[in-house]
Order: sequence, then structure tokens, then C-alpha cells
Amino acid sequence: MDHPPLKTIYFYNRNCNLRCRHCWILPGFNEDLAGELTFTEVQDLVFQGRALGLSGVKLLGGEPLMLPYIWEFIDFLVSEKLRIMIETNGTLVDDDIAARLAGCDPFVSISLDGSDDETHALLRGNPESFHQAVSGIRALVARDIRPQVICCLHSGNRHDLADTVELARKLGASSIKINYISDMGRAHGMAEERLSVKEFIDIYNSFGGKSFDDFRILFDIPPAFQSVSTLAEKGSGKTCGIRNIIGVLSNGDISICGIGNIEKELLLGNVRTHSLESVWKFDGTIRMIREDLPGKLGGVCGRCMFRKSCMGRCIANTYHQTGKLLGGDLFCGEAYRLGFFPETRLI
Amino acid sequence: MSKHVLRDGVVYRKEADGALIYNHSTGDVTPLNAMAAYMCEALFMERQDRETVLAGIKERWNVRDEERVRSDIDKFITGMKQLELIEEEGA
Repeated sequence: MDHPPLKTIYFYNRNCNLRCRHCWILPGFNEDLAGELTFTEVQDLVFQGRALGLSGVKLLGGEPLMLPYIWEFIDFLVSEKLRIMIETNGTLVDDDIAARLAGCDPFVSISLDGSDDETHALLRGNPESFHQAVSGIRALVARDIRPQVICCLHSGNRHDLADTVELARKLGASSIKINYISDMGRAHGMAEERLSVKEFIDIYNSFGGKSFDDFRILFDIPPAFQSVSTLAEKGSGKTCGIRNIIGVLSNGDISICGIGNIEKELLLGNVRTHSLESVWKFDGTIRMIREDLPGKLGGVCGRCMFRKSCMGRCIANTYHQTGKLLGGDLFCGEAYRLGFFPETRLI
Repeated sequence: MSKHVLRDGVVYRKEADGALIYNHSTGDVTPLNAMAAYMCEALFMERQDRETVLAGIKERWNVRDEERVRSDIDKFITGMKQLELIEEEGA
């Protein structure tokens, strides 16, 4: 076999009920989108994936729970014994939905960008979305699903991070993942609120790898900046599994992830006109990633001891900002340029 | 008992809370906590014998079960061998 297994399809709903200021996918907002895949077409996509080694489907967006066939889709994935991951803003999760999800043992992530409605709304726009997300987390926990909370950090909520972490823990989340906001999509308009690389590293260090027995605090920070104790934890240091995933948008467009929604050059085909097998095995971009990553990573990645596991972190972000997939991670590049990149992590 | 050294192409980097070992031939990174880093330096860089390493650990950490630490040292050496990070001295 000259290709690795396609382990996970990232399936992006192009529609959303929020219009978050930092969203990189640029989904529609409560729109009646044309040309979306039917459930039958989605089933066929999954069957094609199975033949390539598929073991899971991650549902993202936009807002995945707005997919018109979401429950048929989830029931189908359960019947196919595929691992289900859902990344949601949490606003649509109530007890009925939590009860349905409880039957399929999913990994669920819910966004919470502050410990109160005003702070949360700085990104989400709608203060009510905070209460809905909190209610959604409670509903899941009541059904023994402990979601991961995702918090996107910026200058307006950094003061609130400790309280957000504590709220997530008290709500019963399994972990909180703290994200750096990149200069992609709508976040391009957040230049003044975006934290500098130095600020984000300092905040990470101020937490000092702090975690609890049943609650983990995870930073979306390259492994080059992670403490040894964090790196030694099972599951840490993992980044984008780009060599084993493919992105499919809800209109059938295929890309390396969701980047195809904003970078049309990275559209690799459409499931209506291309078989998944042909894209996975023969597409030039996919093959280039397979063959040249991490060996031909540029920038500081080329000298970093973590390049094999990190894989240049988010190459879609690198492409969006430089036009080069393998140009090297921009966060690390900036840290290196400013003298913050740890010398001990260079080889 | 034979002593071991880090293989050629294996890089040891001291860190604030332990150490990292980078293997040039595989590209893999192995994190070591503070005690494992101490063992690595003592065993494979300073070529100390196991009992001297044990004595050093007892000086630095509160050891309640000496036999367990002795066993941990042996397991550490075995693990490093399995990862092909060390070889017998003079090999």
C-alpha cells in the first residue's frame, strides 16, 4: 500500500447559527445554502472512506448540529461502528440532544470563551450563546458525556482565563483546550486583539503545566514550547493529523481540511465528481503532503526536533498566510525571529 | 555488569523539568522526567554503576523503597535499549 489509511473524515457544515468574529471557516449565517449533499451522498462518502481505512468522523462547522440530516448521520456512524467527534458551539445542545448523543459515546468539544456572558460574547456576538453553551455542557455531563471546552484566547478575555478554566472544571468538562487565534478568515479583523506570540507563551508558562486528576488544561501551543512534563503526558504533543485526514465540506467539496472553504486553490475535487479513493491516492497536494511532510518543512520547523510529530502544526494556516503549505509554522517562526524559540529544541 | 552510553546520533538536552532525548536516525523525541534525566546522565554520560546511581537518587529524592528504585533503574536501562538510544560501552 503506497498510501496511509484515511483515518478520519473532517466533515464541515457550511452553515452556522453564530457569526463568531474569529471563525476561520467563514460559514454562512443561518442561510439556506444551495447544493448541499444529501444524506444518501454522505452515506456513500463514508462507505468510500471505509474502504480506505476510515475509523472515525469529526463533525465540525459552522455548526454541525444544524445539518438537516444530523441524527440520521450520527445513527449511521454508530451503526458503522465509527468513532464520532463533534465540535459544536453548544447552543443547540439540550437534554434531548444529550440523551441521543449519550448513546453513541462521542468526543464532544464545546466553545466557551469566557466565564460570563459578556466576555464570551466578545467573540460570539450573542451573550445568550454563553448561557446556551453552559446549559449544553450541563446537559451532556448529566448524561455522562464529559465534553472538552475550547477557549479562544485574545486580549479581551485573557484576564478571565483562570475563571474560565475553573468554570469548565466545575461544570464537569474533561479538559479545556486554550487556542491561539491565528490570522485566518474573520480573525483577520482582530489584529489589535490578537495576542502576540510572546504573550501566549507567557500565559502558557504561567499555568506551569497545571492540571487536575480528572481535568486537563491543554494549550494549543507547539510542542517546542511545551514543558517536559506536559510532553510526557499521554496524548500531549499531538497536533494536526494531516497525513491521515481529509476534509469534506457539506456541499461535497474535498480539501485537506476545512481550508477549502476559504482557499479555493486547496479544493481537491467534489464527492459528486471525484471518488474519495482517487483523491486520497492520486491527488497531487495530498501526495505532496504525504511525501514531503515533515522532511521538506521550511523555516524554523526544518531545525526543530519536534518536526516529525508536530508536522509543522497547521499547514493550512501557513498556506493561508504565505501561499506555501510547507513554509513552516508561523507561530514558531515568529518566536524564533524574536528570540523566544527555545535553543534546546533546535537540532 | 556492562555499562552503556548514548548511541551516536542521540542528542541529550537538559531542560528545567527534566530532559529531552532526540534520535537523529528516527526523528523521535523522548521526554525524561527529572529522575529519569538524572539516571540518564549518571548511567550513560558519567558511566556510573547502578549502586552509585541509586545512592545519588537517595541523596536527591525521598526514597522509601530502595528495591523499587533499583528496579526502576533496570527498567529505565531496558527501555532505553528498546528505543535503541543506548549501546554497550565500546560496542
